[in-house]
Amino acid sequence: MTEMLDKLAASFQFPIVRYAMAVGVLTALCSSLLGVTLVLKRFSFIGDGLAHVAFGATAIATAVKLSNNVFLVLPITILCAILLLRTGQNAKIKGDAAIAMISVGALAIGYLVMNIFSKASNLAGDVCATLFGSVSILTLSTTDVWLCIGLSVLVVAVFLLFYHKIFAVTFDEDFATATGTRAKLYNLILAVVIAVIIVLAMNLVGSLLVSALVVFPALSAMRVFKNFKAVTISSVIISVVCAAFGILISIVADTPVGATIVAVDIAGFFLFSAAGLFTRRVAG
Amino acid sequence: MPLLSCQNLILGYDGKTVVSNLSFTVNAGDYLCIVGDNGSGKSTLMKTLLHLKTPMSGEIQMGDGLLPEEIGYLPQQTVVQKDFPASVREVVRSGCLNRCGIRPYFNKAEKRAADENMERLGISNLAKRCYRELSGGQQQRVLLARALCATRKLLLLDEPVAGLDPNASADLYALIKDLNDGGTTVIMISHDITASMKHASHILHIGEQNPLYFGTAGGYTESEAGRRYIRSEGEQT
Amino acid sequence: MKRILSVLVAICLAGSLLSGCSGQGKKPAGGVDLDLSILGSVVAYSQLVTILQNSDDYLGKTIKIKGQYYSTYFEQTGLIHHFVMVGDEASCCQQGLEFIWKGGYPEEEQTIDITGVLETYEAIGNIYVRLALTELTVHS
Repeated sequence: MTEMLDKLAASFQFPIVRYAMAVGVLTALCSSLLGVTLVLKRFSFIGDGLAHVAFGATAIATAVKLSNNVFLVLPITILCAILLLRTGQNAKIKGDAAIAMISVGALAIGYLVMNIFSKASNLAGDVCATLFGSVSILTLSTTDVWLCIGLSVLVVAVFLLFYHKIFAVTFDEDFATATGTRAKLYNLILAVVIAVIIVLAMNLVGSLLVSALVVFPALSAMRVFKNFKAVTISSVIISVVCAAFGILISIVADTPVGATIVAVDIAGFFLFSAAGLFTRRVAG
Repeated sequence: MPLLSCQNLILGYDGKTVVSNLSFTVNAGDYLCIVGDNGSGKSTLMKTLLHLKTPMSGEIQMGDGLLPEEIGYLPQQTVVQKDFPASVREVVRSGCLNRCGIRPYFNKAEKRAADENMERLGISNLAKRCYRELSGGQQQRVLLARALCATRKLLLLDEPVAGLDPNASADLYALIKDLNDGGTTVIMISHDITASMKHASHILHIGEQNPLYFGTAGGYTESEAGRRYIRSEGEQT
Repeated sequence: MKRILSVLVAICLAGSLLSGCSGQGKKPAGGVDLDLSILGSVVAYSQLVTILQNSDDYLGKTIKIKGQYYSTYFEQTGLIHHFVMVGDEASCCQQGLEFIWKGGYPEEEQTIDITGVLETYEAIGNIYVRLALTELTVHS
């Protein structure tokens, strides 16, 4: 036990570990906030789709040798998010097909671009790292952390300001539009914010595992809690706790950070499902 | 001045016309039932009145100072909603959203309005309950309370008793009639011609591309379209 | 209200983690500035990558690393170059750091603990980074 604590203490001496914890917690917070909306709107897979787009954009940014990938990745991801979320109901190509096309296409193009243009000696490792994010979260600079803090504050502010609008647009978009609420505008804002979060989360758990970060805390919360406010707040708490635990475990046990966080999220889901079953049985 | 009037509306989608030459007026305090076979364009008409769809041609005029935001709407439930983790109070309060504008919270007046509407529909005791755990009839009453939060002037209802058992249906119809008596104008799409005849003041029957009848409920029983429809519905039940 | 509170708490946590425990200033016992040998492989690998990406910030620092020994002959310099490789647990990624040592070199792929000072040197017209060792221990 003391050996574990020693290892933790030693690790936290290093800035990269502290940055990882900070960014991890903040990203988990933001992802879970919007995870509730996404799951309820049946857009759970959009996390995965946008993560693949972000991967493709990252590949291009690396090939073009951009100093900070975020400047290319963020706009492209936001554009795709708007495309996917806005044309949901009226698209000629329906939602899930559109996401499949964009998602798989971006992944393939990203991999192609990396193969053709990247001079990195360890290409498989680079791809692996971007997809699974095992090290991107542990190699953050102070700029990255400040950017993450800034974006997180923005996301939380938007969510707090538009909370009731988000609820209305998630629960019943037709009603909201019919009674004069500007549902299309709020959907747009939601799309932009979701894209921002996906890009953030990609740093944390890599493209492949982004969906898990968005979806699991929300699902866990919904097993137990019955109103929107409680679901949202508990989703945030679950997500933050699981992320923190996941990072700590990964430091001590030498496991990849992203996959460990998701494993803890899964455990949390089972825990909450059991709790939900139990409370239902007790309530009769 | 009529609350709502439509002139020569042509409705359709994907380039295909569903209804043409549609003209009718609704005055304050009316109870209009829109009837017709499936696919005749009833839902399209309702969505057009709510500005969710644009008509292919024709005009809709709102009179009497009725703003687009002053229309309450009870849509058919979606799959999403049946499984939604929201308390009854949260759902009902969301009806007040159109009054909030930029404001990110509900003020006291709006919260009170929500509570009053829940009281009026007899669901105050359900305020903290989870929406998805309610019966069909209770869920419809929650949505009706929400619609009332959006307005008191005009209510548009899309098949409100779909999927409800006869008792729940009767209760809901009685509630709607009460609201109408209290001054709310009602426009309702209904499959239930008997109930429509019992409560409505006017009937609009659309079908086979052209509206077959618009006028008072009393006149409907005399009309040819009315007699045919009532008889065929009677044969089905 | 509660929501705002929990958010503030989270942000404060993040902030304090950043600014608070910055114990980089003091030189720990044994004169080693950065001891990567006691870290888990994931963190050790990441820290090594960070060092190499920002080598200017780490020049002159004493670093201790645990990894595997490899050596290669480079035609351009006509010399054998010695490396310690640190890999993350999934062995998906590896990072190497060159070093020089006045003592005897171990056998290929042996696990070694090395301590040295980070410095630059010039070869074939380029600047490279390597560790000038003061200590090398082979794990049995």
